[in-house]
Amino acid sequence: MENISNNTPRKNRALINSAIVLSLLIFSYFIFLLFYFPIQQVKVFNNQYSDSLLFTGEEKNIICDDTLASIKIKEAFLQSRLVMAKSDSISFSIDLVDSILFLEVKGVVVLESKINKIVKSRFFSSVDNEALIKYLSNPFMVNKKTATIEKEPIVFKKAPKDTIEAATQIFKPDTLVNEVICINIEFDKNLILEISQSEDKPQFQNLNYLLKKRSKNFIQVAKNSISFKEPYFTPKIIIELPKKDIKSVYRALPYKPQMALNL
Amino acid sequence: MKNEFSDIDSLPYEPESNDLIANLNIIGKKIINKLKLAWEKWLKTLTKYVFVTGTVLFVIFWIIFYGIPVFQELALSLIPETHKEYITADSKFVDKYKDKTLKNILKLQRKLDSNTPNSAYLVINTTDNSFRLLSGKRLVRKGVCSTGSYTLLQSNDDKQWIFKTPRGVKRIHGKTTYPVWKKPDWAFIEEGLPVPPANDNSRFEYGTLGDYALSIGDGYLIHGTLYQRLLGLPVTHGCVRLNDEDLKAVYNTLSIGSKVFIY
Repeated sequence: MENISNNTPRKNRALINSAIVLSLLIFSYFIFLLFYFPIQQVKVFNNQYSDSLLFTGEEKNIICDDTLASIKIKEAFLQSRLVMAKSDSISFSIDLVDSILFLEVKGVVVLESKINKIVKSRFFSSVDNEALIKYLSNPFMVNKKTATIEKEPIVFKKAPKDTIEAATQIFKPDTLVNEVICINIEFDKNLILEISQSEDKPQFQNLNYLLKKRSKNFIQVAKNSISFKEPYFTPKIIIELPKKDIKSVYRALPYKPQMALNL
Repeated sequence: MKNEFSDIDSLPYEPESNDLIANLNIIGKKIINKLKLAWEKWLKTLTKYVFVTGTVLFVIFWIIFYGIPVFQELALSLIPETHKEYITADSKFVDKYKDKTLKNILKLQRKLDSNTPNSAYLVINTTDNSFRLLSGKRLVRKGVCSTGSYTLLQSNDDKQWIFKTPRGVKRIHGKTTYPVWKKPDWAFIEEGLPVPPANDNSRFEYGTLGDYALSIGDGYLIHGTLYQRLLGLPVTHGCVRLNDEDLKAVYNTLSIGSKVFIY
């Protein structure tokens, strides 16, 4: 009996130590993957978008130069916009070189908004120019959009029974709403675009939106870490626009809009 | 387990003491002291656990919500730069290639610009409730308007109407002076009135639409309003309302077939 009671704390301590070591190992593996995924994603991107038919051997060599590549990217951007102009739906283009967002309807610019701040992932300067040009030469298709505002602010109204009830139902739009506007757009070609207002934005006003957005990345990384599947890293572009322009763009865009990008 | 209050029993009992209250006071003080000590000990342990748990949780949350993007971007800085500032190719070939690309850019830009109408057209922002009258890229006039309220009206027999302004490219189908409004069914239902027969006199309203109306198809009009103070707000049933001067300018500038871009 005495032996057992003496061993119990030692056993407990060993168990605790094993748990700590295991947790540290999992944590280290997770941190390793955090570094591994983006590096591997660059390789995947280069393989996926390097098209031997698009450029000849000599062209491939010269587009390694950033100045020439930027001209080719501009060409790809205009090509994308022309493709979008053929469709009937409203689309948008982002020119990060000139810091402008265009909202376009059949190729006609209906809204031009100055981008006040740009944060671009290092991913785009790590990939090959050849792959980047191919990547940008076709419009991006939106997969999913999340925002802090409603897309269609529909107000439900039940038909009044008589004129007296109708008089009480007169619609008064709320002009004093103080909302923080942020949009998170996911594209089909592994890209996330985050548009937030350039005006002051209290950090915790949209806690639900923030938590959702942040935890999504973690969940995806964790999922891929466990399943040993393909590397997970989605490059992100963050831009800031005036509040009223974001609202106009978001409400104007159809559910699956297209986007052209100039980096 | 030692009872925290077991010492009370061992307090000296002094039967010869006349002052029972004094003794009780001493006992009371001792109990309070014991309780105080136990509370302080418990509080200390609790603080320690809260601090440790809080720190662990903070680190986990920081990694999940902020650390992941930071680590991933950091990983990308470990990749050696693939972009070169120099070109190893023949400089004549480079110049030729550059000229060819620049010429193509100009061609694409011209093609894109050709989408913008050379004649007058109207651009309406339904989120901002504003309009711009343009001719080519020249701004002719701008101002406020009123567009759809996004009200979803449901009648008692479960018919539904949504009052929103359609987006996209429209054309001017017709122009009218001193238009008469033929009230549709929803106008009566919304007011709590019985719906009259199709061509009943009560359906025709004079002066409500202002001096001019321009049809953009599907029953939607650009017209004037009696409610000038509501301009700039989303209050209409889908039509676009303008003030008298703006309406006159739009009516005189746009012709049948002119484009109206609504976003």
